[in-house]
Formats: sequence, C-alpha cells, structure tokens
Amino acid sequence: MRSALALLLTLIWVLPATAHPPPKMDETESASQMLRKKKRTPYTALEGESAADKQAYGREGFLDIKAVTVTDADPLVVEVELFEALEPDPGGLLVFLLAEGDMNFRYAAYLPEGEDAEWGLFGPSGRNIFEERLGGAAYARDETTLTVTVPRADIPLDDFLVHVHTLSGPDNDDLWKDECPNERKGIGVPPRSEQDVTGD
Amino acid sequence: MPRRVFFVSLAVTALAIAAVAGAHPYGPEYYSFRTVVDVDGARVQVTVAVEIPTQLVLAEYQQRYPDLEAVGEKEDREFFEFQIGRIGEGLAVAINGQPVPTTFRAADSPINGRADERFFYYFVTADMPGALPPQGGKLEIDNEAFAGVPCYFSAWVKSGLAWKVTESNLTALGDAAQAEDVSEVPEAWSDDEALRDLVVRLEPRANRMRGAR
Repeated sequence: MRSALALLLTLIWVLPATAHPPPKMDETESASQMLRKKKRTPYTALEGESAADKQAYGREGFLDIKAVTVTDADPLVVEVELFEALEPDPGGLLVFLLAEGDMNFRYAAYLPEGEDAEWGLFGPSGRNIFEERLGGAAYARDETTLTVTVPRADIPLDDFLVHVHTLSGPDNDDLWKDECPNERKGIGVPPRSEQDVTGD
Repeated sequence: MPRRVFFVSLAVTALAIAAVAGAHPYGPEYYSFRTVVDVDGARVQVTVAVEIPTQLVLAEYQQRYPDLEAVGEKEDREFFEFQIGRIGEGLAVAINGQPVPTTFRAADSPINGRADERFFYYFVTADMPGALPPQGGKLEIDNEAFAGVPCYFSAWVKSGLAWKVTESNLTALGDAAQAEDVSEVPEAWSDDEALRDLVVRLEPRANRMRGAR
C-alpha cells in the first residue's frame, strides 16, 4: 500500500516552476535552431544624427550625445558619438540603454578608470562589474565614440534610449531638475524613413 | 518612480547601481535556481530548475561550435549533457554532515535544454531512497553551479505528513515560495547568496494516532 502511494506521488510529481512561466514546447528552440535562425536574418545597420543643441542639454554628470548608431542587432552593438572628446573620469563612465517608457534600465556598460586599466584614454579593463551584472560591455573606439555591446535580449530596437553618465559627477538633486536631459533616442529598425535620433 | 529619482540612486557609486539592478528579479540578465525537496519517508528527492539567459548560452554554444552549418541534434544533445553535468556536478547533498552519494540527472521535461528568447531551461533531479534516518536530521544542499553570476533563488521543502521542518535558512522567502507555481511571484525569489545553499532540519512528526488519544 505504501509503495503504491509512493508510486502515485511519483506519477503526479511535477517539475518545480521557474521564475518565469515556462514556455510551451512549441515556443522553444534548441541552441542550433536559434543560432541558425539568427543567421538567416541579417541586420541592416542604420545611422541617425542628432541636431541637439549641446548647450540646451548640457548637465554636469551627463555627457552630450551627438549621434547614436545601431550597427548590429544581435548582440546589440551601439556606437555613441559624443560632442566632446572623452576625458579620464576618476569614477568611470556608464552607458545606459533603456527601453522607452520603462523606468528601469535594461543594460549598462561600464568604462572603469584606473592605473591598472590599459585604456590609453578609455578602453577595456580587466574587471567590468556591469558586464557581469548587466551583460554589457563598452570601450572607446576613439576620443569621441563609444562602442557598447549588450546581449540582444528584450530591448526593443525600434524604441530605446541611450544615456552616458559619469560616476564622478556631483550628487545633488539640482542636477536632476529635468528628467534625463541628455538622453537620445536610438531607432534601429527599418524602415529607414522612420529612423530618428532626437534630442529629447 | 520618477526617472530622476532612479538616476540619483545610480549616480552615487557603481555598487549602488548594481544593488538597484538587483531589485528587478525578472531581468533577462539573471540566472535563477528553484529547488524543490520532496521528502517521503526515508526517501529524499531533490529537483532543481535552472534558467540561464539565452544570449549567454548561445554565446557559449557558438564558441564551442563555431561552424553553424555543422551543428544539429548531435551537438545540441552534447551541449545539453554538458550543461546538465555542469549543473549536477555543482550540487551536493549531505545529511547530518555526511555526503549522500548521488548523481543529478536530467529530469523529464519536453523543454529541458530548450530556450525561448529569454532563457534556456534546465531541470535536474536526484533520488535518494533511504537517505533520511528515522530520527531525521539536517539536510544540506550545497550549490556551486554557476557561482558568482547574478542570480535569483527560490526553494521549497515538501516535508509531507511524516516530517516537519524545524529549522531552515529559507524563512526569508516566506510562504510565497511554498507553492507549485512561483513564476512571476517576486516574494518567492531572492538574490541573497545565502539562499544559494539550502539548510533545513527535519524531525519526525509526533504519532498522530497517539496524539489523538
């Protein structure tokens, strides 16, 4: 009797739930299926320009973005052109990619600063806590251009925002009178006519 | 929350930002472990569901198999076994301080090793008949799989009618974690690394018939 009960319990036993509702079988793919599908859908790089007035958006702590260019979709590669040449920042530099309408950033990349970091001006460093925590990485392609790479995941390519922020900037409420003053919208999905990189 | 308030918190230090990120348990960058322990008599069954961000798995897969034209079911199976082995080898069970010799194997599930856009899903299980002595004792599950990654944890010990949990490190999770479906239940999850390992003490319940007299 006891073994019969154990058998019954075994039969009705279910797998533990995951943090998210697990998908149905037909909603899933194997690794090779996913990679092949991605390979079949090449991404067309788009470019956008900003007519933003640097003076209008200047805020200490934020860097002014001139243009955002999405060069690849998976992983998402974004080139961020700045108005001014980068200068070493004792606190490091953060690049945020946010889904518009979402108060929480999806990805951040971090350019640390320090003697151990072989940057030249800015560049890759050994330990990147944001790469670990948030799946993003950034390096300075040249003095005014950051290249940010993040997993594609769920950021909507047709509607996301970019912020570049110094970590050593002042920390007071006056800095934040306007919401995200230096953010730029990156539009990365065709049709090309709809692309836009605006200053607000 | 106003966006500026959010960013004030970001501006202080890098660590502060990391902490804020931890407030979002369902971000696609987080791994998750959900452990369910089922105790029936002396038998202990441990099953662990693991979610791994899809992009990270694909990157590793592609590194292992660079030629996408040459991959298929064989490589998928090989990689699946590699992942199951990696998770299973990271798990160890001990009762009253004594390691329980066991092997975690892939659990039966049609989506085991498969993925959607967010996560790859893996399920491992180990069955340990006769592992728990009549007087009960301390059950420990040591989890070193994917140590150091950003992760959320949840667990539930199903002690049944014969046993009761008298001590546990899972109390921080509260009752929310004690349910079959905890998907999208934030209270059932925690990113506290202290919950990576599971420690519970099981004692036999008093004889119900004798207690009724």
